[in-house]
Formats: sequence, structure tokens, C-alpha cells
Amino acid sequence: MKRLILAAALLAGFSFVAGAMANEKGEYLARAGDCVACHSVPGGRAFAGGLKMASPVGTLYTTNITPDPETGIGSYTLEDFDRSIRRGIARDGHRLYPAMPYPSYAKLTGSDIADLYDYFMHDVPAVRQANRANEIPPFLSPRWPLAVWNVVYTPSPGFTPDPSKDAQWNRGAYLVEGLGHCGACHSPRGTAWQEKSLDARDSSFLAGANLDDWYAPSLRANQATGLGSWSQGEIAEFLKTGHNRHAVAYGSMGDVINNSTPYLTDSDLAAIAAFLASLPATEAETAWVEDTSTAQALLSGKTDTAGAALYVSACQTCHRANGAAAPPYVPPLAGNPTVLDKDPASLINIVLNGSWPLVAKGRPDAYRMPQFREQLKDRQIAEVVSFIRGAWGNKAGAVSPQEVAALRKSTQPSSDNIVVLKMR
Amino acid sequence: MLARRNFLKASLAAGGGLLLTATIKAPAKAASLGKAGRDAATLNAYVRIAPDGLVTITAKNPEIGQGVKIMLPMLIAEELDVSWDRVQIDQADLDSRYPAQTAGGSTATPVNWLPMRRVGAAGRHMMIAAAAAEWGVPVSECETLTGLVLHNPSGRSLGYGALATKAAAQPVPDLNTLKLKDPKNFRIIGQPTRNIEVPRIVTGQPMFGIDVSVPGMLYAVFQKCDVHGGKLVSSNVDVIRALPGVRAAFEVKGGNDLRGLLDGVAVVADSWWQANRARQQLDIVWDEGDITGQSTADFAATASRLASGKPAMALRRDGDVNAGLAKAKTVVEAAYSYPFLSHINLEPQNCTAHVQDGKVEIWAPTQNPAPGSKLVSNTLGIPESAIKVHMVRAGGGFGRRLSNDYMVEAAWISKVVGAPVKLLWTREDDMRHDFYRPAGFHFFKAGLDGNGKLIAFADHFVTFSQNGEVAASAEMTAAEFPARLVEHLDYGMSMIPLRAPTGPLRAPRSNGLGFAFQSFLDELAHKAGVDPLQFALGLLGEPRLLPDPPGPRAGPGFHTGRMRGVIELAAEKSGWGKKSLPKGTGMGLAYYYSHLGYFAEVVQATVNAAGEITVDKIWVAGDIGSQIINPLNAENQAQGAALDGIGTALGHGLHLQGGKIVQGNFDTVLPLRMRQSPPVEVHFRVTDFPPTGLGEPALPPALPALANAIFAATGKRIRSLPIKDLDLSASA
Amino acid sequence: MHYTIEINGAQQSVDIDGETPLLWVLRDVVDLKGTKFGCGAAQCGACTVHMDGHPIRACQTPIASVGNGRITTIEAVGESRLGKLVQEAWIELDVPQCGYCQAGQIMSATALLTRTPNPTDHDINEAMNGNLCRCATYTRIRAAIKHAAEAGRA
Ligand code: FES
Ligand code: FES
Repeated sequence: MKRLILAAALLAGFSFVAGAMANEKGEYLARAGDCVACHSVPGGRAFAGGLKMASPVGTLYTTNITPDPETGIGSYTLEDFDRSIRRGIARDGHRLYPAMPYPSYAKLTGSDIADLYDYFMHDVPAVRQANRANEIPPFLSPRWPLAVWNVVYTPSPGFTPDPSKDAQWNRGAYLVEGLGHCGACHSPRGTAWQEKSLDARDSSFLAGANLDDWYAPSLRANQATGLGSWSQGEIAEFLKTGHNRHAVAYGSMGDVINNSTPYLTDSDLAAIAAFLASLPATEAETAWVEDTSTAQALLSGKTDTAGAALYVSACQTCHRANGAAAPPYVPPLAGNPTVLDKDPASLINIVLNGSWPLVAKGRPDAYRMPQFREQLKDRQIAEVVSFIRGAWGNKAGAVSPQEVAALRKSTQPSSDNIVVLKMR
Repeated sequence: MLARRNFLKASLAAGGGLLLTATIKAPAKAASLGKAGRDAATLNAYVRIAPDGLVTITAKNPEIGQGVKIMLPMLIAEELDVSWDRVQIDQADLDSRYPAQTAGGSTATPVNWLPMRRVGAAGRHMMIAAAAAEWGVPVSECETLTGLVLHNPSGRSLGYGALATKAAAQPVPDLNTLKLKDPKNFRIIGQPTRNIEVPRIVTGQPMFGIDVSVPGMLYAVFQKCDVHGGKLVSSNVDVIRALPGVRAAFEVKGGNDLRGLLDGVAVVADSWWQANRARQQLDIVWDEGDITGQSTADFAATASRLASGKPAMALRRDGDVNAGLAKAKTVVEAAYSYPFLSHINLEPQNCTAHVQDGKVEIWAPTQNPAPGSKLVSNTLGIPESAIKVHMVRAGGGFGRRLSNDYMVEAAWISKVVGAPVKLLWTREDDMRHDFYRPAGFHFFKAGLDGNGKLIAFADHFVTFSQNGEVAASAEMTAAEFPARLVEHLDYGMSMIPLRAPTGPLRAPRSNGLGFAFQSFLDELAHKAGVDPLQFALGLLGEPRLLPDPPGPRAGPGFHTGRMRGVIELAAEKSGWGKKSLPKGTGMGLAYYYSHLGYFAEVVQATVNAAGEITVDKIWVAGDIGSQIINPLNAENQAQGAALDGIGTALGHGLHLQGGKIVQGNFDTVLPLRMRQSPPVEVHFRVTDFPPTGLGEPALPPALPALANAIFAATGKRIRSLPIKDLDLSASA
Repeated sequence: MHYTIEINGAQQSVDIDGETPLLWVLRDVVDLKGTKFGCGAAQCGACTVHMDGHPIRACQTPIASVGNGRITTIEAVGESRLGKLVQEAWIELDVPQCGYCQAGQIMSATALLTRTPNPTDHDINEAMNGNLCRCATYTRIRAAIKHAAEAGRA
């Protein structure tokens, strides 16, 4: 009982802007949840669905969540809405695939659900657009196993604050574990495609994961491959702009920057930073220490490996001989957690495909990575990526042309087209 | 022979000295070079000899890297008989006294060769006349020596400078009866002559369009619809106006002419960076119009569908191709295609304009200023007499700057903001708003007899139309090689409607046709079991002139002997058939006649097991007539053209998707780079024909020569471009 | 933001957004127009300048990142012995066609010769690969680099 009262007190302290209208709150929450990223397609109407998502069972298409009564969720009651978001059960009783992060959204408070409902029902324009059928092989099609899945993997609704932590930490935990559904990408998944853990109590939570040809790095305090060397201010800066002195957002984090975290209040960003900074390292890594011999060799023209020579001709004029580049605009390669990760998927992916413009609050960033899939062969990309992973004191392993070849097949190039998904 | 309308005027130059102005109608023959050539048929010259002997020659044509700014003055200076280091060259503005200020079609040499020399000779003649009068001796006793008139009997001499003012009073000689120098006495023509601009280029002096700066100038960018000709519906331009540095942001309602002012949003700011950053926040709703079928994949599918039927239009029919094919021992069928291309001048399109008090001043890196001035006049409603266009050095032309869309955009924006404006496109603008080299599809069928002789040849050419007409630079003529050399021949054409605008790119038409035809002919040689060199010589037969089919494009015809000559020269220099090459290495031969020039090229290339290509070397053999005017530049142009062909074959190619160009920068369109660039040996065969240009004709054979070399190296036939999109690995 | 940077030996003060590429500061603020814009994406090399003697792409160098780096542009590269030799070799061999890429080429070539006085073809390939020449004057660029290297030995 005592516990519950404390929880209520903590949650009361969370309201983001005192006196905001419910649907303004709802919009803010929809931002925090980045609903638009999955429930829209570039150039399409907001929240009308249709985005293709790969999953282990087949190709799924996200659904129309505009208030259109026939094709959207216009006929949902608050209870229906709550059930779908926190339990993964649609109004007609069918079970949603867990590409919809309802195991995370289960953490939402009832009042946030109500605000979201208000927003979706009253502020989002209804769009009549029928949902696309999922492409799932028949033997995987029955949805009843999801019921079992849900029982096993979906926690019961609501957020239980940790009374040993302060309000800021709990607010951060609520946002990260709940609406932010950061674990959907950053937490490793188990054999049933479930996130191995859904909150800070488990050390696998946000410990890094490979999803959709990207490696979403660990958000724990690992010194080399996590956020161990980032200050809380730097974490918040990253979420606000997509950039800081360590790294630049890429992959699906681009969607998060484009639609979500820059819209959060500074106090919410600080809360997220405080929460993330508290997650202990999973491995005792030594922090990255610069080795200046790489830069000296490159500057004096000593490029004894093919990878080094490629670096000089293709990378060095921007990322510089010391790999320090020009942060926060152009990310460093020396000591960058993504470069140091055991899993090289993201680094290979970026070299192959380049990066999409990050658009923080409507303003695209000034610099972007070009793609090299057309200019460099698998062998060359493997050579240059291996070089980068072993230069300037970086101590990650070499990569093989086969790894590059596989990613070349399964990924698409980026482009300079500025994609902003509009919520209005 | 020159026509009668030639007009040379001598007058006193301001500040003393002789001023020669000539208006010359060039022979009609030169008009066989397509549109640019027809315009280029009126020439002009403007020569000033100052009292100090300094000769100033105004270069009237736009300089785009082809070296014309040096070449035309060389012709005048030669016959004027002055020392080249006493010659100074001025760049003309667009000026009604110079009616043909255009760069295109490799026309400058054939069109100017005699007329410019005659202007120089007239000046020399007047110098002699002035000196003879001064000394009271007969003209016949005088001669000239690099800027001096000599009277050998008395040992007297006078410099041109001293004579210049008096020469201005001499009667003007008849241009057509002037005696020109015997080429063996040339002192300037034929000498390797350095480009006088290089010292300024290598020290970074401002000289290109992008470098223009005028007081009070603002910077502009212009966002158009990426579906060409799409209409603007609405935009967030008021949001843009409030961004840092922005002075103006406004919507532009343009017309329907893809070469004119189109719908878009202009952003004008204190700096270009600010303008472009603000523009990136634009949110525009476009009406793209009908884009059905406007994708690369759709085009390919449509082409195959069309190819299964009869051509919509016959281009040429000799004999009976079906009978020929029926008689043939071997029938070979193959489909070839090449992609849309952008010009990718390294200097993106730009223009500076100032519209003020009903007058317009324009600084433009253009290949074709006169139509630009007309376009600005029509669009802004300002008479041409109130428009001044300065031609500024262009960072590459390749045909792109024959269109003046950027010029009218700059003028319009300047008019709206009431200030001088420099409009600069991004690379992405440049690639996505070009006048593309049209893609093309060729469905070939050919028959070889028992001796490997080509007896039947058919091409169903699927190309593009715009507004019902064949799109610009998308046509093929009835003279296309090997027409006139095969007994049974049939060329037909069908068209696919296209939204994107097209236009000439260096060696227009030939740059695609050459690849398709010369690759297929190589394929036939191999099928016939005949060495490609022998196959080519056999096809060409005895040296003779094959007249062009009559029609507006009829030129001087095709000379089989000149083609044989360059093929044999290329084969000899490259050691064709005489070298034993390692496995994975092969040589390819191709030859092509375009822009009055005959070129044959041999490429040696190596392909490793992973499919990586190394171009080892290129041998270029050309016949551009009796005289190479500036060998130093000729070599540079020929090397550049051949390498351009290699780069195009390897790495250029655009895709359309929903009417939009997908590629935007040099990470997806890959121009040749140093690492890929082989040595290029250039050899000229000097023949008795009038000199012609070479900015273009050295390009077309390079693509098929490379493709044929790759076949020789790997056994893999390249039937589509660019090669970067093909898998040539051993396992493929 | 206010930045003071060293360009061609002189201190230049500019008041500008820190994200602004050095390229646009050079061209439009301090009026050194020799450094060219070709792609804005680190893909063409037309904007190559030296920072502390090493080639960088000015279009991808935010002004905020320049710090104490000494910037040299085409307008001043001839003040060094090697830079001058490279320019002279370019004139001697009549390298340029349109000339637009050549400032960048010369900056890359000078940096190459500074660290590798006798470059092999392979060295030239690697050092010059980032500099596009749309007119494809590569044959002469290669020859001119060797010419300058030879002059440098004399
Ligand atoms: S403009 Fe900087 S590399 Fe092209
Ligand atoms: S000389 Fe024209 S781009 Fe190099």
C-alpha cells in the first residue's frame, strides 16, 4: 500500500507541462512513442499505416491508426485502445504481432493512455486507407500462439517506480522502458523474438542487439562499446540533435531523431540520460585510448595495407588522419562505440549505404555520409572497415568480404531525400 | 567557296591602330552538323593592332574547356604573320556583332578554318599596302616576317605597330581572292600552343561563372519539382522567410516549356549556404502530373514489348532483310541498351543576374548565350536590346550549357528581389534537372553467310518521344553504320513517351549508337570466327566515298578509306593480334565516324576473378583532316574524350523512378577517377581533307572498344551499360 | 559564433554559424574563390585545401572544427617551393581543359609530393583518386606530378 502511494506521488511529478490540454499531452506522448515512424510511410498521410516491417514470421504492414471508423481506429473505445496498446489485442480480438512494442507500452500509465486516446481520436485527421494484408507463410499464420506468447512475455499493465531511485530516474525509466520502447532495438531478443528483458532490473536490458541489418549499440555503461564515456549532457544532446562529440545517429535511430526525441522537453531528456547513465556495464571494458601511430603513418604516406590506402583516398579528407573528424557534425571513427562494437553490421551498413539526412525538428543536418556500395567492392569495404576497426587504438576485429556481401544484398542505399513524417 | 555576303571592315581603332571587323557567312556545307552547326554558320572576327604592335583578338565563342579561345586566334595570327607572344586574347560578351556565339557539335574548326585565316591574311595585306605606300615601292617587293613588313631590295622594315593607323586607311581586300599561306610555312598553326589561361587557373584566379561577384549581390537557390515540369500547389514559404540570413523566399509560377522557367520556390539569402540550408526546410506540395510508365523498369519492359512487334516507323530499307536472314548460315540476335545520362559538368549550373530599371545584365557560363538572352527577354518581357549577357568561362560544357534554364531562373529571381543575384545549383539539382542523354534500346538481328560475311542486318531501335515527336538527341539516321555496306538492311524505330527532358551530350546520338552497333559488330565478328580487325576491313571494303542519304542531315558522306586508315593505324600502334596477352586480359577494337572525324580505338583491359576491371591502355587513332591546329590541345581533347567514353561506360547511368531521377551525386554516378584512368596514346593520320574538330568524335569508339576488350578478356558480352551494374566475376 | 582562423598565413575573423563549411567561408566570406564547389559531398575534391599541409575537403569541414589548423588554399599554395613547382608543371604540360577541378588537383598533388617526393603511379592513384576531373585530364595530371617531382629533385 505504501508503495502504491509513493508510485502515485512519483507519477504525479511527471506531468510534462502543467496545465497542458489533454490532447497536447497526447501529442507529446505520441512523439515520445514515435508512433508516426512505424504507422506512416514517407510521402503518405500521418498514421495511416502501410509501412513494411520484416519479422521472423514474415512481412508485416503497420496499420491505420487514424480515427477513420472503417479502416482506422475510429470505432475504438478507450478500453479497446488501451487493450491494443498495453496488451496487444485489437478491437476484434485478434492478437497483434509484437512488432508493435506493446510489451513496452504495457508500462504506460492509464492516464497517459487516456491522453493518447484523446489525441488520436480528436487531433489526428481521419484517413480512409485500408490496411494491407501481412505476408506470412500459412504455417506461421495462426495467431493463437501469440496468446501464449503474450502470457509469457508481456508484463501486466502499469509502471512500478523504483522507490530507491529519485523521481528523475523513474521518469527516465518510464520513458525508456515504456513509450520510448528503446529496448525494441537496443535489447537482445530471445528465441521467440521476445526482448530478453523489458526493464533495468535485467543486465541484458539495452545491452545492444542486431536488428534489421543494424547493430543497435549498447546503451549501458560499457566503456568502449556503450555509453560509459558519455556524460549525461552528451546523451541528452544526442537525443535532441542526433549528434554529439562521440557519434551521430544512424539507422532507425534516424527515425527517432526525425520524429521523436528532439520534441521532448529538456527535463525529459535529462531524465532519460540520468536513467541510461545508471545502467551498469555488462562487460569490464577498458576505455578507448588513442594510439597516435596510425595518424602519423597516414600523414607520412605510409599506407602498407589496402585498407589504409582506401582510407586515405575515400575517408581521410573528412574523417581526418587521426579519425577524429569534425564532431558534432561529422562523427569521429576513433573511439566511436559503433566502430568498436563486436558486431560490425552498423559500420558496414553505413559505408555501404551512407546515411539519411537527420532532421531534428524539421531542420536537416548539414553533413551526411555518402554511400560507397557503388564505388567499392565487398573486398574493399571489408578492408577499409577492418582498417578503421583497428586504427587509432580501436580494438575491434576484422570483417570479411562475406559479411559485406550479405549486407549488400539485404540492405538498401540511403539517399539525400529529406524525409520528414508529419504528425499533422 | 565563301558565299557573297562576306563583309570585312577596316577602321581606326580607339587610341590609334587598325581595327578589323569581319562578318562572314560560312559555306553551307558546314551546316550539316545539326542545329548548333547551322547557327554556327555565321562567323565573325574582331582584330585590333595597336600602335605598339600588340595584337588583340577577340575570342567570340564561349570557352568550355575545348580550347577554342586559343584556336581561333591562332588561325588569324598565323595569316596575319605576327608573333604569338604579341597576341592578346579577349573574351567577347554576347554581342550582336558576333551572331554565332555557341559551342557545340565540334564545329569550330571546320567552320572557322578558312574564314579566320582569311581575316588574318587581309590584315597582313593591308600592312604591306601601307608600308609600300610609305616607301613608294610596289607591293610585290614587300613581304612580312612576324610583325614586320620588309622591303628586301632596300633592306628597310617597318613594324605593324607603326603601320597600324595607316593600314586602317587602306582599301579592304576581297576576302575570297586573298592568297593564304602554304601550310608548310605555318609558324603558329601546327605548333603545340599552351592555353594562355593556365597560369590564372593554377593560381585560383576567379574566372568561372561561379566566381562572379557584383556589388550588393545576394545568393539564390531554386527548388523545382523533381518530376520534370511538375506544378507547384503550395509551400511553407512563410516559414522559410523567417530563417537565418534569408532575404526573400517566394513561389514562382513558370510555364510548360522544360527549357524555360518552371514552377518552383526561390530562396534568396545573404550567403549561399544560408539560402541552401533554408531551402532544405522547404515543404512543398507538388502536382506531379501523370507519371505512369516513367520509370527505368517500365521503360525496359515497354521496349521489350515494342520489340516483339513491328517498328512504328521505318528508317531505312535496303534489299530484303528477311530474305537475307533466311539465306544466312548463322543468324545472331541480341538486345543492347544504354541508360539516361547527365552531363555532370564539374561546375554546377549557375548564373548571376541583375535586373534593374528595365535592364538586365547577366553573367553566365553558357555555351549558347543568344537563345538565353531571347528566353530572358520573352519570360521577363524585357526587350533584348536591354539585356547584356557576359559569357564567363564554364567549368565544363558537354552540351549541358546549350540550354539556358539557369539563366532565366537567375534573371527572374533578380527581378523579384530587385537586387543582383547569384543563383547556384547544388550537384543534386544539376543531376536531377538536366537535359538527359536519352536512353536507348536496340534489338538487333543479323545474318552471316558461310564465309562469315555480313549479308543481313536489322535494328529495331526503341527510343523516346516527347510530345509526340522524337525526343531531342534521341534519333537515329538512315546513314547509321553499317548502312550502305550490307546488302539486306532494315532500320526501324519505335518510341516510348518520356516526361524528362533530353538534349545533346558530347557526341550526341553517337555516344549511345556507337556502343550498341560497334559491340554488336564485334559480336558478329566472333560469331563469324573472323578477327574483329579483319571483319571491320572486310565490311568497309575498298576505299571509297559513300554519299549520305539526301535530307536535312546529309553531310559530306562516309569515306571507307579514311576509316580503314584509322583502324589500321590503331591496330598497328596497339600491336593488335601480335601480342600474347595473359589470361583475363583482352583487347577490343571499335571505330566510329561522327562530327566529321574518323576514329578507331583499341582498349586493353584486364578482368580479375572477382570481376574487377582494370583498363590497361587505350590507343586512339584519328583522321581529322590535313592539319592539327594545336597538337598540344588536340592530344588533351582526344585523351579526354576517350577517357570520358571509358568513364561513361563504366560508371555513368541514371535511373528514373516515378518520373524522378534517383541519383544525385558522385557516389551513385561514378565519373572516371585517377585509379581507373589508363595511359592514352593518341595518333593522328594526316589526310588531304579539310581540318575538322575533335572535342567529340574521339569519344564514341571508347565505349564499345572497352566492352569488346572485356569480352576478349572474359567471354562475357556487355550488352547494357553502365558496366558497374554488371557482375563480371568468374562465378557469375 | 565568432571564429578566428588562419588562412594563407593571415588571421581571419568571421562571425558565422559553426556548421558552415570552410568552403563557403573561403569563397563567400573571405573572397578566396579559387577553391571550388563541385559536389558538396566529399566526392569530387574540387574544394580541396590544406589544413596543416594535409589535404581536406573544405565542403565537409565545418568552420567550428578548424580551430588552430592552418589553412592553405590554391591562392597561396605557390608560396611553397613544391606548390610553385606543381603549378609550373601544370603550365608546362598544359594540363587543364575547362580548369574547374585543377585547383583541387594541385592541392592534392602538392600534399602528395610533400610527403612522397618521388611518387609511384600507385601513390598517385591513391592520393589523387578523390579528385574528379570531368574533362579527364588524368594522363597529364599524372605526368605533371612526375614532372614536378623531378624538378623538385633538381
Ligand atoms: S565540393 Fe567538396 S569534395 Fe566536391
Ligand atoms: S579540367 Fe575540366 S574538370 Fe578537370
